[in-house]
Amino acid sequence: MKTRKTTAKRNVFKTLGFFSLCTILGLMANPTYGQEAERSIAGVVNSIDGPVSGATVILKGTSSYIVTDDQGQFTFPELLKEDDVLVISFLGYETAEVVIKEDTTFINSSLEDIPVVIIGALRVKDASVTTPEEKY
Amino acid sequence: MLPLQAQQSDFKTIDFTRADQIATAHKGEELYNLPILVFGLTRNLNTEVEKFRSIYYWVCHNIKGEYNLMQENLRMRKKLQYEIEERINWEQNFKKLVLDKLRSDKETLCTGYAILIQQMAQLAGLECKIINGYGRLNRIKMDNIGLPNHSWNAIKLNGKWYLCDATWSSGLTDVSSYLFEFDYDDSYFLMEPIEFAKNHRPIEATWALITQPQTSELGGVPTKLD
Repeated sequence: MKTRKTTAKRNVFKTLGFFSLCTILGLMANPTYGQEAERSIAGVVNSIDGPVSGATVILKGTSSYIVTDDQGQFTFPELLKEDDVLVISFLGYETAEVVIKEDTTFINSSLEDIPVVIIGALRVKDASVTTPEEKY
Repeated sequence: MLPLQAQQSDFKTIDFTRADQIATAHKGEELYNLPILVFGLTRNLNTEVEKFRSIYYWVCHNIKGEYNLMQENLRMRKKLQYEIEERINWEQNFKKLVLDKLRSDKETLCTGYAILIQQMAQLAGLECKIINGYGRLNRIKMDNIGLPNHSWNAIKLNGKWYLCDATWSSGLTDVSSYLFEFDYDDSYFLMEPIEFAKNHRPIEATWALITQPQTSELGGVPTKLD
């Protein structure tokens, strides 16, 4: 009698275990498991000189992008999810990368100035010079 | 440890025809959306050197040298050589002017070329540096007290650093008309460091990529345009 009860209990636990396993596997197979739902991301891009108008904000590894408006603001045209990376660039500033976190809905990005001094030595063509080596 | 004698011949097996064709197909495109331009120049190329080649070739065939900016820069930097604070302010404003001109007119001078090459290479996932130093320009008097006068790039391909000079690859300015003429010179693309050192000397000697910098051609001292 006692043995029969124990066997029945075991069967119940086995069945429960099987369903639990199925549930866990089902969750893991779902692409959104462990991630927040996709959401709209807005933001503003600044530099030491103020808002950066015309900066490109691109989803890394794709050609999906938006350009910042006159106030340096943008709303990304696609819904984004956790761990997506936005690459923010504008010629003359260091390119920035922003990783979308679990709770990101707004990005405030500041682009660093490229620390260079402009110098210039262009090659020139002098009509009085005939040899190629001297055409600087 | 920087590699020695990294040069274009390391890529003998690579045919640049496809990279050059892709760059040519993008001729005339604007700089307002650099990531998309870089995406177009590199997405169908598989190797790092081809991606960089496409970028370099595009820059050298689409960005003009701006002689007046160079003259203004030389004049003011010489004038303010000993007025450090004033010079720094002027340089900061001049940088904005140069970058605006590059974005809007695709005209620049050497640091503009170097910034553009660096930024485009980085957007393609490549490590690239701007190297400042002294460029030897024939027929222009040099002396030994000056500020650096030239910028170029070092690019890391397959783990090795290489040298290139997009400014001098792109073409020449006719001094009689002040007009720029595209005249692509491939020799400055991944040039052998010893050859490169004949008319380029970096401020940081390491970036010559040779153990003993070749100084004879440059006279062994820093030079500047006079």
